[in-house]
Amino acid sequence: MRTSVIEAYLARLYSEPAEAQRFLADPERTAIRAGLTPPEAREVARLDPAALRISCRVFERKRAWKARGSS
Amino acid sequence: MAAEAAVAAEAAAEAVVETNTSDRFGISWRPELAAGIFENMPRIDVLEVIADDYFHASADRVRSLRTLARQIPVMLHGVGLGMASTAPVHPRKLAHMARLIDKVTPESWSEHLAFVRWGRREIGHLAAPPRNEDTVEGTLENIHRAVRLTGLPPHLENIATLLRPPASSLDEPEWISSILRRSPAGLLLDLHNLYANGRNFGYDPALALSRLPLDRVTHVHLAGGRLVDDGLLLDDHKHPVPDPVYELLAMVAARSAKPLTVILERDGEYPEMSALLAELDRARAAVAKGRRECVPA
Repeated sequence: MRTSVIEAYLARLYSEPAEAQRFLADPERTAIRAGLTPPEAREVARLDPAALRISCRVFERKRAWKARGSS
Repeated sequence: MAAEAAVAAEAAAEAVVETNTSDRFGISWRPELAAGIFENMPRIDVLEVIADDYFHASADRVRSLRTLARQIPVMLHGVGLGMASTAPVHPRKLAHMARLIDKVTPESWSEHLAFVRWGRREIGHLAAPPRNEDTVEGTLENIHRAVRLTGLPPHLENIATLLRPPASSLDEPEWISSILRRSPAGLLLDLHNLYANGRNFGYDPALALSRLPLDRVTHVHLAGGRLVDDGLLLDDHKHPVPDPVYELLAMVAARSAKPLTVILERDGEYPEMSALLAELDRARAAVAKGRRECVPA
């Protein structure tokens, strides 16, 4: 299990709404397509979908708020 | 509300003689709260300022912060370094932090046990990394980088997460203890984060508290949150501190011989200042209660 690869994928999942949508529809296949090995993809696929949806909304709001603030 | 505030104030008056004389109670500095803070300085011992808000600030704004730090103890609180990661901490942000520490000379600085980016990909907020030996090692390296540049070990804060981090071989208390045991960092213990994680993942936060290295705790955060979908508790800092968090604070005071600095965090839906001061008074009362029930180490 490559921790840095999983960490990189989590960052992608949390910061790219389109990737999160694909992942929620088909977690394992989406993670494998992103370069994770099947065991790594299985591990990431255990993320709770409801908690992931809420977290992604929170992350997106924070990014928007920061973008507004900096501009 | 007024009756609650009166009861809290009465409890706090009793608490003054009971708390360790060095226990301190303060609030997170937010522009929206500035007037209320200045009007109530005698009831506020310390302020915690978001460091990142000053990374690109004008010299005048930084000077104002330095002036503030001469009037009342100020702690700088970072939110964007990404200390808990297999990736190195963001070098430019760390340089900003070191420069700000140099200019403001706060009494301490803190960051989160979180990752916030990967490469140029910004998550936007604090995320829990996999809790395993790889991230313990990465975090230790980042702490050493930070100490080398700032000259001060940070206090590192446990975070709230709705997501159980994948690829974890350690639970949260084990992971935090592994990092602190091998570093000079202190633990900035956020009791609402601990409470929310316990509630969201079905474990007893008091038990988790007992497994943390409380001898490394001198700073504590209090906050409130709200229930969202699926009954999950979101730590949004926009609501009053719930009762169980005060109970956890009393437990910390009972188990810690060190003076505590307790900070009330509020990030929106700001109430009247009197309500925040009443929460600080409840915190004083909780610490006093814990000190009375002191559990010998």
